[in-house]
Amino acid sequence: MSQLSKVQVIFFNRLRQVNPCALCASIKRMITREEIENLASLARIELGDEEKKNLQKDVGAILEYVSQINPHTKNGIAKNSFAASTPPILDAPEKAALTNTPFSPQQNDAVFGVGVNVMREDGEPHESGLYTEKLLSAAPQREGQYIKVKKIL
Amino acid sequence: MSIDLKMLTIKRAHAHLLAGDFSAVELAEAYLAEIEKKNKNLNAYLEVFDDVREQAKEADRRLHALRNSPLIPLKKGGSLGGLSTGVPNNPPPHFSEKVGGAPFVKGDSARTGVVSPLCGIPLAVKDNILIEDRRVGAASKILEGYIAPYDATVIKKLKDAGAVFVGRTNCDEFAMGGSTENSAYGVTKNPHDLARVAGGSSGGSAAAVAANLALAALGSDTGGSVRQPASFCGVVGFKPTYGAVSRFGLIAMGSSLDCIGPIAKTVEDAQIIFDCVKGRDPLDSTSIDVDTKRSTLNAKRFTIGIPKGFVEKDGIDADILNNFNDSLERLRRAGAEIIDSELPDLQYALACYYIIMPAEASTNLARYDGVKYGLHERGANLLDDYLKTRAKGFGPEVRRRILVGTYVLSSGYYDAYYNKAVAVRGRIKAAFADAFKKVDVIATPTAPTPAWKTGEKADPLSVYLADVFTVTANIAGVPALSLPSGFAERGGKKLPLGLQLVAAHGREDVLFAAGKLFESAAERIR
Repeated sequence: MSQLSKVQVIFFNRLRQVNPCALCASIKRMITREEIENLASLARIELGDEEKKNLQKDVGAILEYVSQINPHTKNGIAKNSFAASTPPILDAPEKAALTNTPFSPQQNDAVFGVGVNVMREDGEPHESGLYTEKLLSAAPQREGQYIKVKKIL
Repeated sequence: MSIDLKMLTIKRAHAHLLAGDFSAVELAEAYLAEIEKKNKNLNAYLEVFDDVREQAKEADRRLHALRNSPLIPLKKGGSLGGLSTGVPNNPPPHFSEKVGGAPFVKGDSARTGVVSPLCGIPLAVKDNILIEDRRVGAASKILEGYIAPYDATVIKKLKDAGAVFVGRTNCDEFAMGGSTENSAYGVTKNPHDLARVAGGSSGGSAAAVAANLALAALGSDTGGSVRQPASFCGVVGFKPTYGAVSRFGLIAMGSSLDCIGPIAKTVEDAQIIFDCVKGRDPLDSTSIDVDTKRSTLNAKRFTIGIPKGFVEKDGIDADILNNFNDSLERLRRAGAEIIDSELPDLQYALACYYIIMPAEASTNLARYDGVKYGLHERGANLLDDYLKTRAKGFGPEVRRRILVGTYVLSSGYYDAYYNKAVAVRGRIKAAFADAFKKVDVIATPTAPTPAWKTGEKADPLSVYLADVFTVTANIAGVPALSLPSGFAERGGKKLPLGLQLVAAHGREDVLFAAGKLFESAAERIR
């Protein structure tokens, strides 16, 4: 830890401000190899051994940094923590029921951070075959009017 | 007339084109010659299109038609002065005459009046925006060979205006990065110091504008990817309000954060491009209309809020801080009142961003499986096809972020990370909305450091930290502008620095007005 760059100093200082224990924990804690393998499998990405090791370190460090928004990630939420004081995520019906809030509907959205889905009516589909050739020509493996893939079942 | 690319802006080029000082073809050729000289070294362009002259010829045809057509009456409500903005009622001064008291304008009557200020203007396009029948790849090997089947909405609008697309610019792979070091096709160098990065992820676009390889460029901004490289390269970078510009045809990374934005030499140029590409699009349900005509910004007295505690966190580069204070001084001279605008939740914005963005990116990048387009690696079976294609096609940063995203969305962690980040995001949005009740704009430096040396930042987290000032605008969905504000000297070279201005949701008008005030104030002391 002799020659820290300025940015690394900012990083450690921020951690110290948010969570006094994190400074020591961050350097040593790594996500486990099994966790990395599980994630890679979920994400459908094949990883080599060297990469798994590097990712343990990198992904671990990143997760450690972002965990600051929920200081008690592993152990549930402490009553007086920042995490406990954030407003809940509400579904649209629940939001609609909030007629007594001091906020306007726009402010509600701003406060609760959830947008509104914009839908359109089902309409007539476009003429069949309009884009078929354009799209199929991009496929790495093609047979006639089909995209060719390996056996699925 | 020999063309001095350094002195050109879109506004000036438009005037020259209308006056016939040079043609769009000559203008395009001037840029092509410059690219021939510099691009090999800078690596700003991944591809220069082979039909640039043809596009420029078409633009010349429109300009020619304008010059040779009869006068037509100006519609009621039009103004004579100022720039044509692509709207029929704003003709350029060269082509309007008062006839019998009523203003008339020369126009190609078949085309309803006037040419856009972007007609014949050479633009660079980031490699994640689709132009029909042209290669596009998000600077990734996984999209090798992919040809865009359609135009992005922004491209369609620029085509209608007659803009000339010079080529596609280098960027970090799938826009993931802050330096363009993550491109699968090599880094883009900073024109101000070739040993340093151009910034990212729109590094190619920013370098192209800074090195006069294009008059302006399109980039995309998810966490600062237009503003930060603009700041590193000494040009203007603008991120619109989320939704103000359609994302249809932008290769998606973080869908609730992505914004297409212009990189240009002046605020006015950025505004010209924005005015052309903005607007609600039925093909993008998250798009909205933003009214830029109003401006309640009182030039004599406008307020700027500084989140002092946030900006002056220990460890910020001293040159950045000094330059920031200089910028505030200039704004004061321009009539601004500077007040403190504490937004305590801002300190969580970066953590919030690096949960939400990888989560959304891991979902958006699931489509790259070697089946529908791009790279296909042969495996033993279908699953193996996926595993190998994605391993080979994605670079290390992309793989890192996909894994982080997969983690924060996986069962057991979804609530603690992703849901929590969305809740924090809501608070940050509310904090901004509240702050803008008291101030017109919020100002910070664009980046905490000037451009770093290529390869200097080996630790990915240290690159993320450079986004600390820019991600806030993407998290909150508000518009933000980076303005060249001066230089820091490093190793005998002058590295550009940027001032970031942020305005309330939908208040591009305030942002452009404040930006222009800063530009003219900055010139005053030279």
